[in-house]
This record gives sequence, C-alpha cells and structure tokens, in this order.
Amino acid sequence: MTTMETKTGGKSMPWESYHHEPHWRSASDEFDAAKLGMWLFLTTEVLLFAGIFCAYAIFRMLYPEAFANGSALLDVKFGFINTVVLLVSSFTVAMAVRCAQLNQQFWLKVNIYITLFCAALFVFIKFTFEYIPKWSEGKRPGAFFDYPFAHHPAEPLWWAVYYCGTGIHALHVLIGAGLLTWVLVRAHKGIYGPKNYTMVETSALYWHLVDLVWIFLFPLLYLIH
Amino acid sequence: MTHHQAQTAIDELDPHGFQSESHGDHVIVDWRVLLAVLLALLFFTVLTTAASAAERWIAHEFMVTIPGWISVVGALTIAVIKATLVSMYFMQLRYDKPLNAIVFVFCLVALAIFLGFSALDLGARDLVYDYKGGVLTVGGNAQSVGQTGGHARLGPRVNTMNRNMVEYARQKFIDEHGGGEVGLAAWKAEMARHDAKHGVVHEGPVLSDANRSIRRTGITPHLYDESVPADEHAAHESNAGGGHGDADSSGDH
Amino acid sequence: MTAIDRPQDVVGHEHEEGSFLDNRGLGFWGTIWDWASTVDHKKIGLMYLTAVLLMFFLGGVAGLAVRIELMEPMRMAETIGEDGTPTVELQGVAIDFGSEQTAEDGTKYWSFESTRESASTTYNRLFTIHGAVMVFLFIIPSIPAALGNFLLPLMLGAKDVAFPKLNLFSWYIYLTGATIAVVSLVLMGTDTGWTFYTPYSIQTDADYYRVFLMILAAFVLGFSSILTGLNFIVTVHKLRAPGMGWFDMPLFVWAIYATSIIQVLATPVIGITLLLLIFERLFRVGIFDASMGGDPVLYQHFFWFYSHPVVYVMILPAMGIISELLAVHSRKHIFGYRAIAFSSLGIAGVSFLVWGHHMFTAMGELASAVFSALTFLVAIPTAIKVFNWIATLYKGSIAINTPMLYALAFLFLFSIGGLTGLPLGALATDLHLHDSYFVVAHFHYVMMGGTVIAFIGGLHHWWPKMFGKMYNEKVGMFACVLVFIGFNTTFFTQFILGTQGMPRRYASYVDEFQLLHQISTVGSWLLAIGFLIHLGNFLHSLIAGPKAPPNPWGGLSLEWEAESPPTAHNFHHEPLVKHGPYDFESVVPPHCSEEEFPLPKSVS
Repeated sequence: MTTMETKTGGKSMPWESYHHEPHWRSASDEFDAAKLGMWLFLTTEVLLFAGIFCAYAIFRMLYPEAFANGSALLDVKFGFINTVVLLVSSFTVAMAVRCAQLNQQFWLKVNIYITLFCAALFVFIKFTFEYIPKWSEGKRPGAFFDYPFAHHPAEPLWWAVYYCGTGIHALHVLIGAGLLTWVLVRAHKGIYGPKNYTMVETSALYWHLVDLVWIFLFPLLYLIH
Repeated sequence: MTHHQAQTAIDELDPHGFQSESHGDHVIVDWRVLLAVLLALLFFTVLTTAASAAERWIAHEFMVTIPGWISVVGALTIAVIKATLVSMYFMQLRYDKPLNAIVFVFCLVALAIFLGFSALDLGARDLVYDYKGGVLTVGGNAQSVGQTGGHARLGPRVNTMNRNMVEYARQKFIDEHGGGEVGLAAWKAEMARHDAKHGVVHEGPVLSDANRSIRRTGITPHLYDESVPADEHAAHESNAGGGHGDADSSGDH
Repeated sequence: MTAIDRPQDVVGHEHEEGSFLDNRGLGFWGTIWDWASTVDHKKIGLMYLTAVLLMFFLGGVAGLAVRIELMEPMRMAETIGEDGTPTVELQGVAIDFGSEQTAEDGTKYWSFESTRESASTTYNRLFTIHGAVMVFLFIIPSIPAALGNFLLPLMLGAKDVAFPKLNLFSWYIYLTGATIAVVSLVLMGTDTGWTFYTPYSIQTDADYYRVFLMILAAFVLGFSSILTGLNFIVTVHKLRAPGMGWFDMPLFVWAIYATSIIQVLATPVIGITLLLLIFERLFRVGIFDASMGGDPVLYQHFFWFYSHPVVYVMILPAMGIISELLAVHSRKHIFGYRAIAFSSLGIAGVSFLVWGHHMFTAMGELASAVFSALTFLVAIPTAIKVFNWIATLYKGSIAINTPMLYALAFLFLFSIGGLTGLPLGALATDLHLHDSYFVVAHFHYVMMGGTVIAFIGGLHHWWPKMFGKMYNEKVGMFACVLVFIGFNTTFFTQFILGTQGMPRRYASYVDEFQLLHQISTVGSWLLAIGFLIHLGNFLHSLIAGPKAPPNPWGGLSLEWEAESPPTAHNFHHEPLVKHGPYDFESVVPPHCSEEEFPLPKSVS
C-alpha cells in the first residue's frame, strides 16, 4: 500500500496511483465536486454562526450600555494575539495546499504541524487567559452570573452571547484541528500529492472558515463599544 | 498540474458542451502572494486594534466620546476587507470557478435577510404601540421558572428574591462582606477600584436605569413584573397607543 | 434514447449485473450487513422509504387519537360541598389544583400530583407526537430523502449521488435522530408542540430531560437534512449524463434542486436555534428568556427563519412529482417547462422573505406589514405552476390511473390550501383567524393535500421501477377516492370550525362545535382506511404482484431507461441524452413500441 515499483525502477508514492471513485467520469470532476460540496458545507457553517451574530446585533441594539460595559471587561490583548495566531495558521494551511500540489511532502507536513500548533495555542489562550479567569470572577452567562460589579441588568445577556459565540467558535477550532490531524496522518503515509490533494484543500477551506468567523467575532466582541 | 489527464473522450460525447466547465486548471498560488496576504491581514488587525485603543485614549484624555457608529462602521469595514482577502486568496475564490463564489454570495444574502428582518421587528416593535416595547424589567427571579423543582437543569437554581441577576450578585457580595452598611461600604470601595481599572466613569445611580436602552419586557407587558399593582398596569395600558381609546387597545390583545 | 459505449463503461461492465435488490447468495445476516453498509443510493432510498412510512404510520395513529379525543368536549362540573369547599370535576374526575411545596433549597413551588396525567396532558403529548413526527420524521425526509435518493441519480443518468458515503452517513444521522425523537415523544411524553416555543419549552417538565431530548433529536435530524441537500446539489451540478443540459433535466430534479438549496441555507439556522434552546433549557443563559432580558419572540424569528422555508422543502418536491405525473400520464409535453423550473427557484428564493407571517400578533406593526406584503409574493410562482399544470392537461390523452387521480387530487386540494393561505397572510383577517382551526385546515390542505397526496401518487408512479412489481390499479384508484373523500371530510369542516372561532391545540371546546368535530373525526377514519388499503395493495404487490416492465407508463426521463428494478450501477451503459424528458409528441419511449404509445399523426 505505501510504496510500489514504477517502470523507472524508483519507488512511487501512494498518491501517484490514485484513481477516482467509479461513479465519477474523471478525477477532475471528483475534485470539483468535493470542493463545491465543501463550499456548500461552509455556507451552512456561516449560517450557523448567523444565529450568534443575529443575537449579538439584536441585544446590542436593545441594550447598548450592557454590551459596552461587557466589552470593556474583555482583554483586547488576548483577542489580538488570538487573531494573529489564527491568521498565521490560515497562512500555513494555505501553504500546505500549495505544498501538496507541488509534491513537497516535507513542507506539507511541516505546515500542517504549524497549523495544529496554532490551533492548540488558540484554544490554550482562550481557556487559560479568558474563559477560566472570567468564569471564576463570576462573569458568566444568564443564571450563572455572579459578578458583583456589573452596571447594567442585561450584562448576563452579554456574557451569554460572548460564551455562546466564542464557545461554538472554539468547538469549530477543535473540529478543524481534528480534520487536519487526520490529513496529517494520511500525509505521513504519502497519500497526498499533485494527483490527490482534495482532502488537504477541503480541510484547509474549513480551517479558513474558522478564521473568517473569528475575523468578525474579534472586532464585534473586543473592539466595538 | 499533472493531475489533469486527457479527457477528450467525453468532449465528443458532449453535444451541449456543458462538460467543458469542469476542465478548468487548479491554480497553484504563489507563496509570495500568500505571504503578502498574510502581511496585509496582520496590518489590518493592528490597524483596527490601534483604532480601538486610540478611541479609548481619546475618551480618557480629551473626554471626547467618538460616536459608536464610527467605530462600528470602521471595525466592520476592516473586518470585511480581511474576510475578502482570506476568501479571495487563501480560499482561492479569485482563481476558482465562479460557482463556488456564487454559493458563498447566496449564503451572505441569506445572512443579510436573517439579520435585517429580525432587526426590523425587534428595532421597531414599539413604533406604533408603546406597550409592545414594554418596560425594562430585565432579570426576573432567575428561578427555574415553572411549578416544580426543576431538577432537569444543569445550571444553578438560585432564589434571587425577585432581583435581577446583577442585583443578586451585588447583594451576595455585600452579604459576604459583613452585610448591611459594612458590606455596602466594602462593595462601594471595590466598585470604585473596579471602575477605575476598566475606565468606566459613572455618575448618579450606580445601577444604570437604562434610560438609553429601548424599554421592553418581551411581548406581554408586565408578564414578569409582579410588583406593578393592577391599577397601575391598566393605567399604563390605556396610555399606550397615542390617540386610541381604552376599548381599542384592550381589544387588540 | 441511445446509449454509446464509453471506454470506462466497457471496463466496468465485464459481467452482466442483476437487480440491485438481489442478495447475491448472501445469507440473512449477510444481507442485513449488505444493506446496513451499502452506499447504493437506491438501497438508501428504500431504507428511507421504509422509515418514513413507519413514521407516517406513527404520526397518523397519534393524529387519529387526537381526533378521537375531540369527539366530545371535556365537561367541567363544579360542586360546592356542605362545608363550602368547591370541587371541580373534569369528565367526572376531580381536579387537583395543587398545593405549595418547599424544595430542598427553600424555594417555594406549586406542585400538582394527580392532574399530571389527565386527559388534557395526554392530548398535548399526542398532538406533539403528531406534529413532530409528521414534520421532522415524515414530511421533510419523505420525498427528498426517500424518492429523491432513489430517483435523482437515475433521472440524471448517473451511477450514484456525488458523495455516496456521505449519503449513508446522513441516513444513519436520520436513524439516530429518529430514535431519540421517538424515545422522547412516545416513551417519555413531550408536550411542547413541534415548534418548541419559548417560554413554554424552557419551563415545561422542568424535572425531566424529555424536552431536551426532543430538541436534541430535531437538532440531529437537521444535519441529515443538510447533508442530503448538499449531496443533491453537487449531484445535479456535476453528475448529469452527457448531453443533459440544465433544461433537459426532468422537473422533479429541478424541484429537488430548489429544495436542496433551501435545506442548505435554512437548516443551519435551526441548528443554532435549537443549540441555543438547549443551552437555555439546561443552563438558563437567557437569550430567549424575558426574565433575563432575552426575547421569546426572537426565538420565533430564529425558528421560522428555518421552518418557513422548510414548508417549501415539504411542498416543492411534491410539485416536482406532480409535474412528472401530469406530463407522463396525459402524454403531453409539459406546458411552460422553464416557467415551472424557474418558479421552483422563485419559491425557494421567496421562502426566505416571509417567515414573519407566523408571528403577526407578536411582532411590531412595521415588520408585520412588510412581512404581510412579502407573503403575497409566494402566490405568484405557485400560481404559475398551477396554471401550467392545468394547461398541460388540456388536450392531453389523460390516462385514468392511481398516479393521475392523485395528481388531480393534488391540483384540487393544493389550490384550496394555497388560496386559504391568503386570508392568513393578510394582517387584518389574520387577527381573526390566527391560531384557529382555519390555520390547521390550511396547512393540512397544503402539507397533506399537497405533499402527502403527491408522495403517495409518486410512490404509485415509481413503485414498478423501485420493486419491479405492478400494484393493483383498481384497488389503488378506489383507495385514492376514499382518501380524497376522507381528507375533505376531515379538514374542510376545520375551515368552518376555524372561522367560527375554534382555537387550535385545545383539548376541549364549547358544545356548539361538537357536530363539526364529529364529522371531522369520522373523516379521519375514512382517511386511515384509505391509507391502509394502499398499504395492503403495496404489500400484495410485493408478494404476488405481476412483474413490471421497465417502462410501464411510457415515460421518457432516464429512470425509465433502466431496468425495473434497476441494476446495481443503474444503467448498463452511461446514457447519452438526445431528447428532452417530455418529448412525448416526437419520441417513442424506451423499452416501448409505437403501438403501445402511438405518436401524434402530425409528427412523423
């Protein structure tokens, strides 16, 4: 499975013998379809986050002070660092696709490793410096709320939007990292190369979407008062 | 680029020519382009964060409050630019078949419809009848609402004695710090320290009376507001709706 | 229709294939495993069909039970005892008004002991079972997942859907969701109604996890719907047979395509809605809770942003079936092909603009007026379709058989259902009619008179293709007439009840409504008998039905090119499309002779 002899006598990688599924007319069709399918799935992901954005917009409109007060309690520093981390990971995963297309097996793996490291860093920062301190101070959503120094009675609602939004986003970071781990394992087997990089590209698309959502969550939650 | 094999066999069997669209080459994006995009993204991130910091500094130093809409429009414009860069270059929409971009555009249209129409209702609910806006009584008693113990709840089941969560948390702090005047003094000291730390300057009542908020409770006025006496309730109802008489407004609901 | 050998086909078909239903010598467990692990769209479609029909039965039984409960109003009697304490009896059972209890943490709450399982509680649970099962487990997957899975690749001339493994995965998601839903509905008893409106859904049964389970089930089922829709969109884009352009596709495919767009764009919103509702119910985060500053009506916005478009997920595929049935069985080119195709897309587009008409009495006046105006837009593409169908019948050679009878029944019932939607969409009349039996009758005329009728009609139409057996035509037609009569008896009375003021979702009513309720209940029995006759007819066909020819109706779309039942890879050779799906005037149908289906004399 891993290697086989070619006519020239050299060892060939598994991706070279890749053949498309029998119900497709060509590998090109199969690739296009996978990509279209992924884009449609990304559409559903955007609309999943639409609920969070809608709740944010509505309650910001109804309780502007509560949202301003709540936003002031977030630390822009960590939001900024996490944004940079995600942007860099987005870059490396785009590079990973390029490496697969060019058969640079080593750099393909390196780029995915960096991406996974960034994913871990993001979640680590999120929990260590944001979720855990905030939760223990009582800045919690809804009926969990236990923070004595709030000004506006709707501030628990702000925290509800904050935790739901960033929590569901963090869940997507983990899902994306899981996908990329799977890609990495298969990349180690030499499955991806110029003839077969569909999974690399679709996983990368998913990862970029996670980045896209954060690009909007960051200013909405941290910057706008 | 090697993975495009010859597929000429299909073309001659394709009288409509609709298959030809699937033969587009997949572009391998130059790493310098990707790097340039990353740098641009980082630049915009710094820019938007700096703008936000500048806004705070201005408010602190000059006591000038920059209107909220400016920071909203500015930050979201930058976010849109960043998102465009990511989708165009990292996600390769620029090089892709237009179909994928069309799919994404449809998604954004659906998103806009969702946000727009929801806001249309919530933003203008009391446009005609005031009572639909209700009175701000945010925060009920945070009980497991209903008539049982609410055992199927993983969240807290606290009895806040008809305070909202913010008041309840404050009272808890006061009680834990000696209660009464002693606790209140402790709370005030801590609150002042906290406000200074976060740059919040408040005059007048500490708990905002939310005059700037849109006054509302939900669809049913005074549903959660048990302290309002019945006659006051009725008086409010009859005032609602401008020139409409009592019979009119009560008949509506 | 001609088939041309293409290189990969020759390689792929060295041996002659049998029907996809052959178990190829596998034993009992082998066959089970073969079906459980299959990626064949036809087998997945048939598994969906079985599940969906089972759910139709379950929901139907609950519906019949609801109707039986409504035979009589509940009568209350109040007696004052000698000591002056009043006793209230409901249907002869004394009502316990509860007493105040103190929980462990000192909280006072009101406790009911004996009335928890009263008739009205059972009624609430029954209509929840009826609604949730029919909507989430039956109608939404009925035509797209069952018939669509089976037919879409066949109609496109493809070997399978674009992502066969994903297709199997979404079947298992459906199975998981269905299991959770049935457990929470039937075994545990959810009473929220299928809409889970807040604040009731975050308050009711606070001591039990059943409401949470039902919400979770709906959440899981949404993923199945999304993945099926995604799969179909890619299939339509990428797997059309050579020679099949967009306007050579059968209209059923257009309808499924429009449906899939709605599924992909709307279903994720119910995902986040139900997720937030789960958070709300378990943790009380406050987004939909007015006591925390949230807004219960925001929940309705979220919910109907999905659930209104999903109404068109239910009806659009039915419209696709009707387009096929009317054209094939009146042997006439469909009138206004492009108008019907684009009106499918038009309905899909408009469906996202009208959800507010479910909340006229809760919203502000501005939003209500805007949504009311937009709601009338739905009438345009819908009317275009109905006019085109009627024009298709004109001067056609109409065959009177079960599919055709169902198509005609659809035209009649769906028109009533559609037109009664107008007074509900108009603000002024809706104030009188909302939440009344008029609404119940309206959506049953659309959902049942439209979707279910078309589904049963389509099932008869493609039954020979699915199983290779013919059903008994006379029995089918008799049952169709019975269903038609039963349906109108059941639901037309409800229009009258609604205009007279009977509110929906009530276990009891004033005595004046009793006669109409009784007529309605008797109608539901006729309806049930009609469906049971169909079931018997189908079972008889499976066991002892005559073998079906590949093309019993003389259809021209590609599924009739295949064998009955189709081979495992659908076609012996990849078909090359050289005529449209409705060219009945100029093409002799595949597997048919010109004597069977003569062409018009004017066309040589």
